[in-house]
Amino acid sequence: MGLLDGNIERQYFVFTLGSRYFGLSISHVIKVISVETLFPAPLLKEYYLGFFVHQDIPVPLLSIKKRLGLGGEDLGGMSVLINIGSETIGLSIDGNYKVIELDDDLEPLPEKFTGAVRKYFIGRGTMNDKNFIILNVESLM
Amino acid sequence: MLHHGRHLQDSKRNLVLIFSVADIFFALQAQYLVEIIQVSDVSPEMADDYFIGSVNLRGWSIPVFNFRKYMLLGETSSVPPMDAALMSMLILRSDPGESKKIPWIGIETDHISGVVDEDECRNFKMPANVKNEHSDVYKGILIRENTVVYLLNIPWLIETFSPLQ
Repeated sequence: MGLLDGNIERQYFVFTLGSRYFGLSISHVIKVISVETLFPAPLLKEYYLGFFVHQDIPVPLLSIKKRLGLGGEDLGGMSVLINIGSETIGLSIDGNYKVIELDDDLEPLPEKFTGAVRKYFIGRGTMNDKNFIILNVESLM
Repeated sequence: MLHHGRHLQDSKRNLVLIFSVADIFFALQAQYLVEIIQVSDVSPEMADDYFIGSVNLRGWSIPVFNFRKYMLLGETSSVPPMDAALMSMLILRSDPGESKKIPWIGIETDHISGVVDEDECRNFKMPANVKNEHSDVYKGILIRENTVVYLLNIPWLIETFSPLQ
């Protein structure tokens, strides 16, 4: 499915981090790119890995693994560029991704998602019998 | 000793000095550079949590800021200098004036890349969303030849940490 095909409000960018599946609304997604050179920057929020250059502009690369405390190292190399308000940031992803369109509304979060962690997610979807959690991208920053 | 400061101050251009520590490129505006010296050691005098010690510059003790430690870049140089007995040190001030009442500090570097015109770089603000309480050390980001260079906020650095305030 192309990024501009179908009902955009029901489309999600689904990707893997380790064995977990995550999704985000396609309305935030600009493109997926290969990060050839990352320039680490000390003394930033700990979940930013540094900056890379995209079209002559420095783009901060955010580690979802670090942001959500998932553990494990970022594989590096692949990033999904997203827009949040006027900001553009890159999210580090493992490399497996797909754009899907859901037939149904999002399902509520599992009850085990309690407390502060709920702010990072807005719901749950299903793709090929696999559940994925939809990220609330505004909360990641 | 190398004396680059006078030449850089005389220029009408917005020059920046680019250097690296732990393979990360940093820049500072040349107006804050007094001179670049080659030193063989640092005296423990004036050492504290933020300062390695001091160097003697023509009879004046200049505190040497532990930039590597403050930036969480490790304790020792990752790049052996050309002459293993010497290290390049930047002597910096927070204001272009000549008064020695304005505190000067030294910063060790791994490598000095050179001086470029700031106008030859693309200049960006550090995005607010990436900053934490320590990020005031950055004045901005420069892009030069597809490389990210972090422009330092030297007045903030000196005014925040200098023991000679």
